[in-house]
Parts: sequence; C-alpha cells; structure tokens
Amino acid sequence: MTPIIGIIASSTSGASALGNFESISTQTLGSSQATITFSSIPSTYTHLQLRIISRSTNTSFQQIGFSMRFNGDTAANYSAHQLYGDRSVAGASAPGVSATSMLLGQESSSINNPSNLSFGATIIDILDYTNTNKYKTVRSLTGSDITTAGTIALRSGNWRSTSAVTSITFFETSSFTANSSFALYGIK
Amino acid sequence: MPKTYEPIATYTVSGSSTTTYTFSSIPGTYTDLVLIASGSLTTDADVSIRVNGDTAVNYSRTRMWASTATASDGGTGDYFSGTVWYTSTSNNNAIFHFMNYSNTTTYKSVLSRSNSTNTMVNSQISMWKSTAAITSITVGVFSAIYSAGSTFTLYGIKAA
Repeated sequence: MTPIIGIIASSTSGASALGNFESISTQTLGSSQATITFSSIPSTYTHLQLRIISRSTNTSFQQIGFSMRFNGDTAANYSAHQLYGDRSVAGASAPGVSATSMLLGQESSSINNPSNLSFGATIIDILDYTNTNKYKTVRSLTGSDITTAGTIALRSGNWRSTSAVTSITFFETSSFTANSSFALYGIK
Repeated sequence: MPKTYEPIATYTVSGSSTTTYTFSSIPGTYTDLVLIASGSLTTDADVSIRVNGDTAVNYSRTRMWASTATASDGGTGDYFSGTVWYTSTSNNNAIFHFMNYSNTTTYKSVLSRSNSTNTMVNSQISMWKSTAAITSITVGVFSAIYSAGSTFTLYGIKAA
C-alpha cells in the first residue's frame, strides 16, 4: 500500500512515502523555453509525481493554463476535466473531451503580475504509468495567485493508450519563463 | 539512493494554551516543504500561516470550497488562511505545499487542501510576496486554541 500512501501525500492527507519517493530529474529554466520534455523515464516506479512552479511569457492574459502530452502523441487521444475557483465563482468544465493534449496546469503570466515574480504552482500525479492493460489517468492540484486575481483548480486527465508512459512533454500558448522549475519524482 | 522525502520536525499539542506553533531554522537543503496539520480547535477559526515572522500585508490567497454548496473567493492580508477548523470531535486536517521555498528569485507559492471533516472541503493557492527563502513557518489561528493531540509535521522534498 505504500505507493498509495505516497499519492495521498500530494493531496489531502497525512503520511508520505518517504523512502519510496525518489527524485528522477529536474529542469529549472535559465531562459524562456517553449516546451519541457522528460524522456527515457524509467519503468521501475508505480506512480509518477511532478512538482512545478511556472510562469508564462504571455502578455495577453493575466493567467493561463499549460498542457501535457505523453510519448509524443499528438492525436486526439486525451480528455480533461476540472473543478475551479476564480475568486468569484466555483465551477466545473471540460477543457478537452477529445483533445490532443491534457490541460493540467495553471500559471501566472507576464502581464499585471506583481513584479513579474509571481509563479503558478502545480502538482501532478500520473497513476500506474507503466501498466499496459489500461488507459492512463492523471490528476492535478494547480493554481496561480497574483494578489488581485487568482485561479485554483482540481484537474484530471485521461490518455487513451495502453502504452507505458516513457516521456512527458509540457507546453503552453507562449513559453515558460526563466526560473520555471519542473521536478519529476517516482513513487514505488 | 539518498532519501528524497524526509520528515524535518513534528509538534504535538499537549497543553491547553497553544494558539500558534513555529517551525524555525528550516534548512534550505530541500526543494519543497510539506506541512501536514491534523487536529481541532476549542473555537471555530481559520488555520493560518505566516512565514519568516512577516506580519505585513504581503500575503494573498485564492480558494474554492464546498460545504452544502460551492464557492470561491480571495484577497490579501497579513497572513494566509486555510480552511476553517471546527470544534468537533472529528479531526480536521490540512496539507500545505511550499513550492521552491528556498529560491531567492521568485515570490513563493503555496498549494493547499484542507478539510473540516464534518463540514467543509477547501482547495487553495496562496502567495507570499517576497523573494526571501522561507526559514520559518508559523501555523496558528491567532485567536483560538488547538486541542491537545493536534499534530503538525513538516517534511522536506529534495529534487535531483
């Protein structure tokens, strides 16, 4: 049951996986970058977790979302749903039903962002990522707060493939800014 | 392989007068911090956080919650609060993720989820408007007393 305990630690409850929670790789940007890819992900874990802070170079919106794909698959094999709050309403939506990626992250951008130092935060759990008998399920807790506005969301995603996840790619409509950081962990 | 997810400190309320608890001298050797709180209060109140003893209006939050209906709000203050904890015999709990807490180039973002087990569930993003590394965390409600047996545990997560 240890891996399940590890996943719980990312969300609501008490214990952590401790010795069964291992760092795989981290990418911290020295300059803006359009995509982030983790490749050759080892299959020796049961679940994966990504812990992210990020900001966008976008100057049209105060906050935007970012998306994720697996194994370079750009076909319409994904879906995503969310519960969200934006300080005025709490709602639900389906940002992608038959989509080419999963909207899972939320970040602040480079407009009206306090000193351009506010970063969104995201924790993503990828469950049973090496199992070749079922489609893959993902969930995230994500949000950005820029003092005058903010968004918090619980999102889920589905990749309709039985392939093991061996690579993960993040992208958005603009680029991730310098100091954005993506950390990948494995849970045994 | 070195441990990635480690306990740093735990505090268990034993008396009848604890309104705040401070984790101080937090090492800067981790990437993220995770604070897990479990317990109850002697009066209904928000469980709130300050860092580095900063009492200025440098905090903001955006949250959504549900009890019998859903709602969302946000704002600024001299601390950021999580969900309301109630004086029930059921446990309330909260988990706070302090993301990249020791970097000195960004404001600090904190993701949290909390539950008043018989009343409310809450998800939240909070921000501390400072580029300073977080070296202390004070968890308290500034008006209510924690019940004996309430626990606060701080973990560190270290990225490669």
